Order: sequence, then structure tokens, then C-alpha cells
Amino acid sequence: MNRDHDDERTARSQVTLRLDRDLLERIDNLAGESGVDRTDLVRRLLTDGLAQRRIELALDDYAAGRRSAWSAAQMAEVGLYEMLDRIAEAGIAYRVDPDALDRLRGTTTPPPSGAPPERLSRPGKNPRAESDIDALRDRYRPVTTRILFVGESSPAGGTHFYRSDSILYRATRESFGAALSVAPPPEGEAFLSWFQSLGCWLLDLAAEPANRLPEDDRVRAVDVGVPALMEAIRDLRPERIVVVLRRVAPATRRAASLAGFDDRAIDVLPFPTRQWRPVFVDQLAGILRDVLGSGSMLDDSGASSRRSVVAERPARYGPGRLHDVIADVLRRHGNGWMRASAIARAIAAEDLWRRPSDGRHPPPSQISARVRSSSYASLFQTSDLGIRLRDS
Amino acid sequence: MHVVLDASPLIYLAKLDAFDALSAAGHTAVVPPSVEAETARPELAFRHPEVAVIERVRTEGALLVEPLEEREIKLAHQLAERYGGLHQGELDVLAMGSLRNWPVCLHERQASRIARTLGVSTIHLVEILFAGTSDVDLLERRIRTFARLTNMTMEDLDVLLELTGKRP
Repeated sequence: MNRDHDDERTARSQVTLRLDRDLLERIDNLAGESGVDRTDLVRRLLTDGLAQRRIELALDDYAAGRRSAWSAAQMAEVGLYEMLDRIAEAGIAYRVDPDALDRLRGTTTPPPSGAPPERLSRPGKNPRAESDIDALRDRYRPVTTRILFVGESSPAGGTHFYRSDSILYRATRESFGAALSVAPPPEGEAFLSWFQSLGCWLLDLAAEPANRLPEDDRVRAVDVGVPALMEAIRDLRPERIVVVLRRVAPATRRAASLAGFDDRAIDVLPFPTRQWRPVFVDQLAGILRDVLGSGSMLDDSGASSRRSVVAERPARYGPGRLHDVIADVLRRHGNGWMRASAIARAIAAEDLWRRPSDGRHPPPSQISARVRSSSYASLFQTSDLGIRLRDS
Repeated sequence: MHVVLDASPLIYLAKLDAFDALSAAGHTAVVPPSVEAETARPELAFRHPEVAVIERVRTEGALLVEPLEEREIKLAHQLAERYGGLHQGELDVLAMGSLRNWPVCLHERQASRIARTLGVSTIHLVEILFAGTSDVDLLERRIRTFARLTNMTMEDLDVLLELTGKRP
């Protein structure tokens, strides 16, 4: 026994550390709750904190392109599987090697694996792209526009929301079905008529397909559309503007501002490709319930009553309610736009909320998911600028 | 044709359950022992079922584990002195590809650039998926899943979906 004790003393060095009384008190409280003594708890906290910090530094290096994922895993002293998961959780964007994309397009020499099939050649500008869109748009113009959707342009590939064949069409249809409890929602022209009857209309800022233009030209094409959008907003006076592509949010805000439109009624959604699709569908569903909630369509479905209990609904997890904590942080910061990462930092700094599942503070991704949830559409406003309370 | 796989593409192939694309594209997948050691760790199999997939593919002979030759070990060590930011396993992949004149499949753009600097051909995982997945719906699913797993940028995903012919 004494020998073990001596070994332990030899293996460990004694350090003296000055801590705030408040922090010490919280450590003692946690130690009491966990049934360990203060020293043991501090050792564990330091070990965990060190491991976490090592991972954060490795993620920083990976995000900055200074290390590969495997090298970052080595630095963080975790396996590659875990590091790949951490990279995904951290939301670090992945870019495909542009040479590989060029080879797939058939614009450079194919790799030794053989040439890509003929069908993979990238099509040029599709003559269908914008030929009949204005007529279709006019056909589905509602008498009164309650929600004005703003997009960038007709896609160069020739599809469009009003042709019922685009990504935006499919995600929007799904969202309307979810919001209005209609399963399955109508398709094609029936959906577009429904969309119209609910007072919804989609306008694009750029007159011609912009998604394949060089960046500068793309920005210019959108900017050119600002005066027309301003006039439309002034003319239509919608209750809400929903921007369906983050990159056109600044131009939309300019047009709205010029039209004297309240910017608290502008929502900016991520375009519904890949992992953003469920986010888009859920967030738009919340907005639809929020705006159309008093309308006739919702009274039958019960969605309106769901909306009315949103603020009182207890969180599905957590000792407190994360959305309440987020709202409190926003209020204390004067309800200016705050990024999810800044909110996460504020919650961690003051230890305002921890996840019951693992005792950790919520990461930015959890903050972002919570405020975008359809349940909180009436509470939070999200945009490319960050998050804030809809009503200050 | 042999292709030397790095650990990350190997893991993603397992996650996508897309090893069939390798043979369908006419490739024989080869990994150095360091890649096998990182990706086929039995203790991780419960949390990461891909470990079992990789092990199965290896025992079926669809994934060859080739020891490095002496000259390849030497080159890998030389590369370690010249290129920071890469794991020794990735340098093994580069050395093997360089001296055997086999293309390498790497995950990060930076690593691919280094490979090209060394005169080593590269092939990306998405190229393998395109070349070895004839069912367009399946290809689209694989591309979407890969994009979700990696947080691929929307621009790149849009290009890939367009190339599948499924991009609306």
C-alpha cells in the first residue's frame, strides 16, 4: 500500500494553481455530485480538456489545409475514423480535387482508369433555361402575395421551380406537405396552383441563368435585379420574404430596404442541396406555419394549434431548454446578429447549458439546428448574417 | 490496373458500400500495410462497421495488402522530410505509387497536388464511382452520400450531380 502510494507520488508532480473562487466552488460542487475528490476531478478535467484542445488544434490545421485528415488524427491522438467524424461534425467543407472534376467533365486527359462515359459530358447552356419562365411565373402569380420567395435565377440546366422539376421545387413541395399535414402533397401543376392559392410566389433576381457565370459576372447579374425586386416588394407588400439561396441575401436585403420593408420579416434559408435539404424543409415548414397559421388551410390540419404551443413546448432533451438559453444570450447581446459559434462560445463561457447525453456544451451545429427547427420559426430569425430573435 | 488506396478513400468506399465500383471500373485495389493497420482495427468494428466491410473485402481478395519494398520505404522516409502535413501511411501510398507507376487514390487536394508534383497519377474516389457505377440512380445516391459524409461544397456537389445526368 505504502509502496503504491510512493509510486504514485513519484509519477506525479505537484503544481500550484490559482483559481477563481467561483470556479473552485463549481469544481467542488461537481466533485460532490460525482462522488470524487477535488483533486481527482481536476485531473480528469485537465485530461479531457487537453484531449479536446488537441483535437481542436488538429481540426484547425486540417481546415487550413496544413494537414491531411490522417495526419490530423495522429496529432489529435485519435484514430482516422474518429477524425473523419470530427471533421464532418465541425462542418469543415470538403473540396473535390479540381483536376478530378475536369477529368470527369472530359476537359482534360482522363486518368489511367479510363475515360469517363460519354453520358457524363457536361452539357452546355440549355436553351430551355429561361425561355418560358416569365410566362409560367405570371400564370402562377397569386392575387395577394403573402410569402415572396426570392431565388437567384433559372438554373442553367434548364430546370425551374415553375417547371416542377428542380431541386427547389421538390424541397418546397415536401416542406408544404409537412407544414400543412398533406401527405403526399400534390404534384406538378396541382402543387403550383396550391402554392399560388396560399399566396406564395417565387421571383428570381437575375433575368438569365447565373449559376454557371464567372463569380464577378454572377454577382453583377444579381445586382442588376435589385431595382426590379425593390419595385416588386413595394408593389406586392408581402408579409414575409424567404430567400432560398444565401448568396442572394445581401441583394435581397438591399431591395427590401429600398422598398421600406421590415428586415425582421426576411428569412434566409440554405439552398436545399445535399445535407441542407432536411434543414430547408424543416425550417420552411416552420415559416409556413408561422405566416399561414391563421389561414384556412391550417385550421383543418391542426398545424396552427401546433404552432401556438411552440414556445411552451418543453425541450426534448436537456435540463433546461436550449432555445430559451439561446434567446437569453441574444437578448443580453442586444439582439444583434450573432453567429452560432459566438452563441456556443457564450454558452460555454458562462456554462449556461450542457447536453445531458455527454455533459458537453452545445456545439455551433446544435445551436444552428435548434434555431432553424420548424418549432422555433416564430422565435428566431436566421440569415447569412447569423441568428437573432424575430421580435426584440 | 492497380490503384493504391489511401486510408480515407478506403474508409469512404466502405461507408458507401461501393467496393464493387473498383472492379467494375477495372481496378485492383492495393494498400500498404500502414493503411490496412489504420482501417482494419478490430477494436473499432463495433463503433465503425466499415472496419468489418474492409476486412471482408480483404479476405475476399478484392483488396490486396502489399508490403513496401526496401526502396519504397526509403522513398517514403525521404518524402517525410520534404512534405509535412501528411501521415506516414500517406507517404507509403505515394512511394508505392511512384515506384510501381500505379495511380494513387488520395482524399485531400493538397495530397493530390504533392502526388502530381512527384509525377504520380491520381484518381479520385468520385472518378472510381463514376467509372464503376452503371446504375445512374445508384451513382446519384453514392455521390449524395459521399457529399454528406464529407461536407462537400454545394458547388462541387452540383457539378457532380450534373455529371450523373440526374441533376435536375
